[in-house]
Amino acid sequence: MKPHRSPLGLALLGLTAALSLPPGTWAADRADLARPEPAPLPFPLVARFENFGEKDGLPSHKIHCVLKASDGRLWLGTGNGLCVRGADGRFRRYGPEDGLSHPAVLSIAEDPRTGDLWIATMRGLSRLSGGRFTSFTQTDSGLPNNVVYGVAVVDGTVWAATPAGAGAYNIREKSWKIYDHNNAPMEEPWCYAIAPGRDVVYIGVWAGGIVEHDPRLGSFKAYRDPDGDFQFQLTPDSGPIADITSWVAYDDGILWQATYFGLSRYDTQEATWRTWVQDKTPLVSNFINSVFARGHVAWVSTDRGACVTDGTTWATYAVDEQGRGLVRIDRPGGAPETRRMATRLADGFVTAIWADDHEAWFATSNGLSHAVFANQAAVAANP
Amino acid sequence: MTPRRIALRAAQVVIAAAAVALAGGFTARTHQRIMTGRPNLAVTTCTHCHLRSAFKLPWQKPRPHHDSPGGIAVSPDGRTLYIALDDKDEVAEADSATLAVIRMARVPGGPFGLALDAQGKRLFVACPQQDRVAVLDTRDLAEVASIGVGVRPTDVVYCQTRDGERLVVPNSGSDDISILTLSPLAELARVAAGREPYAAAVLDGGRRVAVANRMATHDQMLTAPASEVTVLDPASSRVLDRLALDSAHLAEGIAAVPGKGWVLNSMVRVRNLVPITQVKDGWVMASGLAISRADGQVTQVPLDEANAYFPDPSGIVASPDGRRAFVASGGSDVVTVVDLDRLGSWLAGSSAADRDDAILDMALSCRYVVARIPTGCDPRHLALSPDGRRLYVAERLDDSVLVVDTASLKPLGRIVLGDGGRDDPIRQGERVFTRARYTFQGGFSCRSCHPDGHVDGLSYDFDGSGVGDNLLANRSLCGVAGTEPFKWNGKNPTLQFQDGPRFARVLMRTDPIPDPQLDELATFLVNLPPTRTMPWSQVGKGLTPAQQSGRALFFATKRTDGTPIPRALRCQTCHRPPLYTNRLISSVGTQSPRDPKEGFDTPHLIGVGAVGPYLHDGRAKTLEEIWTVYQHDDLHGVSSYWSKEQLNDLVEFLKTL
Amino acid sequence: MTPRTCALLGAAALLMAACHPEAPRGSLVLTQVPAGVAPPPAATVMDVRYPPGSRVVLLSPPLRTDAAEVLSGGLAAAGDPCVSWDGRWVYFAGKAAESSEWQIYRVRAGGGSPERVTRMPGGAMDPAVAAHGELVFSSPVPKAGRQWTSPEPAALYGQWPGQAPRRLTFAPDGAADATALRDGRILFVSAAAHDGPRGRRHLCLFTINNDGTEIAAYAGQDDGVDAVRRPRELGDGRIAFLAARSDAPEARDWAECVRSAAPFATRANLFAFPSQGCRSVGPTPEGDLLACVDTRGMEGRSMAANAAVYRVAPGAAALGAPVFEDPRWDSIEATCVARRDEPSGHTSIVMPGATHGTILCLNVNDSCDPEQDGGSGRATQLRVTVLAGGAQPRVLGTVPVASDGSMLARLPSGVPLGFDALDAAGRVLRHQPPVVWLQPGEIRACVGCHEPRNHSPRNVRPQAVQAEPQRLDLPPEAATPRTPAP
Repeated sequence: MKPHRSPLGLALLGLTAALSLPPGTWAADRADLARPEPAPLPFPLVARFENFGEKDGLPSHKIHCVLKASDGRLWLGTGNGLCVRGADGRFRRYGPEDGLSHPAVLSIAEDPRTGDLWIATMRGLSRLSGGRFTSFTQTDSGLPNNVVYGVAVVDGTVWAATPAGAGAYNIREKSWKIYDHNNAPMEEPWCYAIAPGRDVVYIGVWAGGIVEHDPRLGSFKAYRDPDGDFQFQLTPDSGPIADITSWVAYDDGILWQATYFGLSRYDTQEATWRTWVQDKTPLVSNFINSVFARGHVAWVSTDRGACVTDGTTWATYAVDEQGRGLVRIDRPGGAPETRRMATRLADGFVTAIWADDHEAWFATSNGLSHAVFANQAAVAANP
Repeated sequence: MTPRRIALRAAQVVIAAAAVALAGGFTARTHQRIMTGRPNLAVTTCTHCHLRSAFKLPWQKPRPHHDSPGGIAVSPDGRTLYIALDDKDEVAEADSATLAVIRMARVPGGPFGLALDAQGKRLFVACPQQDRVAVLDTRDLAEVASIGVGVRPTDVVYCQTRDGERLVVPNSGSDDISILTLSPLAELARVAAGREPYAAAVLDGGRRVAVANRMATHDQMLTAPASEVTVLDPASSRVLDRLALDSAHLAEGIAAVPGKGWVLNSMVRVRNLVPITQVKDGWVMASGLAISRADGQVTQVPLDEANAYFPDPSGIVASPDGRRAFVASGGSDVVTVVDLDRLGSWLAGSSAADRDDAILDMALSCRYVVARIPTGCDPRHLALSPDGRRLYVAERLDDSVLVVDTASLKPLGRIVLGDGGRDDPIRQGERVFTRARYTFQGGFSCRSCHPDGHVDGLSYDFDGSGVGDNLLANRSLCGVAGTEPFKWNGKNPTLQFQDGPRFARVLMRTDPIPDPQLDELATFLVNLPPTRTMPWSQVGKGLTPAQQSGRALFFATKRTDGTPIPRALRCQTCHRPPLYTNRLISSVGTQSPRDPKEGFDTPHLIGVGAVGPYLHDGRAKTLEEIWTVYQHDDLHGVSSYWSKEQLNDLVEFLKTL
Repeated sequence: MTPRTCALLGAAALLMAACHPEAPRGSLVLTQVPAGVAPPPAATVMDVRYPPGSRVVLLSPPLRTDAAEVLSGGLAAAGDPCVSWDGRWVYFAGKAAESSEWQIYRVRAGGGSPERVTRMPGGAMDPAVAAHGELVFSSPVPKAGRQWTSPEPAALYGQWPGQAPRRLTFAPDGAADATALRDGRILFVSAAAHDGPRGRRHLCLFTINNDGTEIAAYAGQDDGVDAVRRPRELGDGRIAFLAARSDAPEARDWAECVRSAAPFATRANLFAFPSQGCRSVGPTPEGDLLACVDTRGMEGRSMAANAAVYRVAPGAAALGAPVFEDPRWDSIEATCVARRDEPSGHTSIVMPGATHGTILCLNVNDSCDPEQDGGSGRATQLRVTVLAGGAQPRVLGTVPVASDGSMLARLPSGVPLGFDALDAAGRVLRHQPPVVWLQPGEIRACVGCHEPRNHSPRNVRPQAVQAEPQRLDLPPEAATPRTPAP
């Protein structure tokens, strides 16, 4: 299971008021909510959202990360504890009183070998195994720093992205390694995210782009913004769009970089880059909290909604100024199609997404959204 | 030569000798003070720093090996017994009818835990000294395969799962559990356990496996410890539950109860947070049985009685009909017979409050303990024949296996494996170590707090100078040879002194151990080798770069910026190789308000990676906390210049010692 | 000393040993009192038990009446024998003359002249042998009919060979009938805690270590009869004792027992048959019971019969035939002469020069019956009372109770101490009359006030130990122990 959360955006959750599209950004083509899709999409389309908030039992309206574990249970990292959705649909909270190292949970990852959950918090890293928490902090373990933005489990090693570097905990040997500006190509040690790649680990570094690490060889490779300027995209499609990496995600040979200045995609087999910014592409906002990769599709969490894209086709879910749900479809060579939805995201400030072929879950700054997918076959039959 | 001349010459010699002695003494004192960085150092001997060779220590020398029975496996037809002889690197095969040993197989690595497959064709052997599991073909007892697992595997269980055959191996030294597939023989996963996972039991026909963790853990000082029962799905390698046995340690036996859905754990209920003012009424510790029910509820009940103890409960088995359990008590040389139906009746009729307090009621055991079967010395592992009619008891320090008729509870005979080592003083000392007879009412033995000579990870409040004044962390006895003086205040010059009348007065509350037995005990202790913390696969392989970096830090004489480190504040000054102690009292800024003195004995660091918690009262949960939380003004070595990476490297180095 | 003197002394010793061989295997030591003789007016409880002419005899197999060898020769009266752990010595209470005080004597089990081993003012009685040959006894000997109401109650003393006795107990109503348990403790009879002369007084069993520390209830405090006597540890994990409806001498005793595994829950008749008239009971090396029973009027026995010795197999349905009886004597006490496992010792923590001990209570609110104890309120302080310098308890002072209910105090040693748990308003929540004591330097702990019997403590760190204990002192006028040790 891939970890997912939003990094710096979390810190800005309380500051950002841009929860809806600015007036005039989009206009719905027509009010027909049931208009069929003209052609199949390369990814599922959300038919409706089911939203959950504190009134439904969530311990906080701020949802930082979401993960559906291999056993089917949905785990949420909130501003007030770890939360699991039971088979009965009820939410159960775990907090420091249960052993969690801190109530602010920023990221969750599952160890694919054991099913243990590793939980990144604002004060340490916790492991949830067999219903019990074990915590690691910077004072009682080799964890580089107590603020853990991202966590991933890669081949028996737990990676923790912290402001003091990336910590690698070898579960078998119970030993820690720290990768930072002293021993890796980082300008500073501030790490936001970890993504497991094929035989390598990608580290999303603040002001350092992406660092690729091969644990077998102990080697590093840095991917940096070729123009070195995060304000302007001077050399599109030639490297990371910016060095200010807020998140990274990898699946099926494709690496995605989220930044606060746009989105990047790296095809690791063809060694090609593509970049998107909001002014020139369907990307709804440059301010990207996180990205979730599934196959060749990215689910992008921004401060103005969520995008789904394979790099060519886009679906964007947002909330207009009246608080109504919108979806915009961007096909290659076609005009954008924008429609209102009967339901809407819980909030336009999306922090993290988890998705598979059957459903998606959106963590937002004001609740949790469950996306029910449309019948793709029906869509194809009604162009 | 005239007498006068002789006298004159003699006077000259005396004066010269005195001058040499004075000069030598002055030089030696100056040398000591310079090398320790302590200008006020009292008179010490040279041996604090010199003339200590790790290779001359007793545990480095050859010693007699014995046929101590470890794990026992009984063939599906009940005709054959397999007995692990870890001290001899052998597995014995015995005929259950004749009680004779038929043949022996050599299995390097200290074979300890045994399991058979469903047909009895393959024997799986956990070898803790080489971190591996060996597979033997029972037709010829030849080793046909082997696989590396975690550190010090002490048990192995076999089960059939929905996804095929599995072996589950608790690795006591690395605190994890290996889950192995058999086709091919491979490690499917290694899951984290509690502390010292020691034994395992198969539940629900292989759908679950429960693992007993021998040592307790606690979140912070002065909080109640708990020992874990790790329940996992061997097919998926998922940990399903981690049951907490409150205030339990030495929980090294585990059994599933057919028909009742219970998991039974033998355990010691400790009261380490209560000042040790008496032994009576289980004030220090008492033996118990933990019953974990299918709904996750855990009830602890006593195995002791109001005025008698049956300490160090170890092996436990439940009869196939689920009506009886047998628990070996290594400290009292008995097997306790528990009527599980009676126990079930009591549980069913009790309130939640009754169950919570059950372990406190020393008289409760009368309701379900139906017999105590005398055994030879130090019964540990138990096994039942498949039909439940015979109980096999490994009499570890008598080199024999007792066979008991479970209907009459009478002995049927013994499988004699060796001579018991009566002439071996180390063995005799181990008997003293494991016997509880030297404690009031037989309350506990040395082993109760020092399983295998190691630590229990707990701190105790001894009342020697008053209540609440003397909170002390347990210290390992492994590798203790040559590290005198003993005790945290360094007042005990010998092990005999340490374990003699003072111990009887403040802890055992009975007569001191008689001198001959005390000498034997000391002999056993100095022959205890250090605990191996490195994986077997890394032994002799040299240090990793991180460990090398940590070693350089340990022996550093200058900070990274070149500033000299005062000699008194260098790691190596006090923790001087080869034992990593100069055997002097050191003040490292850890005196608490009720500690009578600021100085404490400098502990040796051999096996330090496995002896936490740390510092004299156990306040440091991990090695890191010594410097991240409890370091003040660089009193415990100059560490203020270390980066986090350097601290991690130092810890990695310390774990290699 | 010259070699010749040494040789002479050695020869004399050998001769003496030859004259007094060890008792033959299977021998018994009996207390015999003259049968059919009305006891004269008695001065002390011992005179009632052992009227003039009472004697201690060695009875060797085949246990014939003509084979009795008197061990208390030369004494006006004797009784209450006990045998040392090595089987070589017999200790008993005796008095040299009608006007003498009862003291403890000892004699070789094989026979010989008794030698006095105690010189206690007011006399000594109820000898027992503890670990390492220490003699334990009660002193002074109470006046007849006043054993448990005497103004100078008997206390237990321990005395090493050749040394002065040391006081072990400070029970306000006295202590008697001591016997050493295999675990090294002294089991004895005393009165359960009660509030003065008007409170209900009943006898029950207590234990102490052999240095007088750790006074603890053993059995009978909650379910006992009015009187218990002569507890003896059997070989099968039971404690046998004599029970009676009163402590009056004319009360007929019967034999009961408790299991040491659960002494507060297992009180039962020792025999499967009625045992009224039982005068003593004890173990045999073979696992049987040795009992002296007054059979007058029992089925099959005439009113002229007397107390005889029986050997009873475990589980026997009837008393059977006596193994020994002598129509001239009532055989009221019998003990096997045999070597037994010596009890464990105890390394004393007593500091003879100290005036105080320390007591730690883990939770004064831990009570098995809070409602009966005055409600479930939480105590904030503990009032300490002491029975010293008068018949009524006096308040020694109060000590604070921590928020977790724990209490730590340094209190005077060698005096009976009582405790009242008080709530914030000063109401008494739980009341314990003065019945426990501290030996000098003893550090004593308890789980709670009126906590369940035989319960272990919870594993919690008591808050009270974080601070220095509060010290309370005896007022000067009460500083002298009520019964000074000789």
